[in-house]
Amino acid sequence: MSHKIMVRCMPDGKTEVRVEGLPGVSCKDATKAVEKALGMVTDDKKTHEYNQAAKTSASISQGHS
Amino acid sequence: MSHVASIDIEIKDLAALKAACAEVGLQFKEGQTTYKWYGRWMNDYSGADAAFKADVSPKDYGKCAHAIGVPGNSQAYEIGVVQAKDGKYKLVWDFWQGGFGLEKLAGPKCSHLVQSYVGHVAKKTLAQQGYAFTGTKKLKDGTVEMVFTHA
Repeated sequence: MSHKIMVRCMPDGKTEVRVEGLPGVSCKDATKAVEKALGMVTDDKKTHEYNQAAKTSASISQGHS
Repeated sequence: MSHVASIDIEIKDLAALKAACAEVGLQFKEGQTTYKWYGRWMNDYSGADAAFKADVSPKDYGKCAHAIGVPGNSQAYEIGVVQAKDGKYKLVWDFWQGGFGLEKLAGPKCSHLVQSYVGHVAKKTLAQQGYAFTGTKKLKDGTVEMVFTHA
């Protein structure tokens, strides 16, 4: 059965992996490898506080006077 | 049935990072252990993504495992690829005045570089499972969506 995986990366680095068209537990199995390769999975988007930029990248942004 | 996972991206794949640099027009300087920034910590930036809040001590600003620069622009600041104790990497940079050309290629908060990195990791990993990359689209808010199809 043909199915798709969508990987969405927002400008702040927050990334979602979505699979459509697979039944049951196959759904999560399909994305396990790419989720692990990309980073740390947090399933609960509503309660997770995103400080994404600080996780992968960090700014010095020094002012010069 | 669908499944959505949210991921805190971790930079772990240097080959993918190199490919991402090439894709956005940056130069990966392997083994260069210093990166160009203002040079002196002014303690004038405390945003959520401030480096000192991401376990990068100000005394270590300017030090890195590898650097990323702007080809042909010696004035531009560089991105430091800093390795943490767990082996993962962070991208550290000084975007004062857009890093004098750096932000134009790397994107605000390194968005272009990180999005490209995610794409390279996803393509590599999903290809091993028989997925074909079938397209990408950029949304109005700057989100990049990549589609992979399995027959």
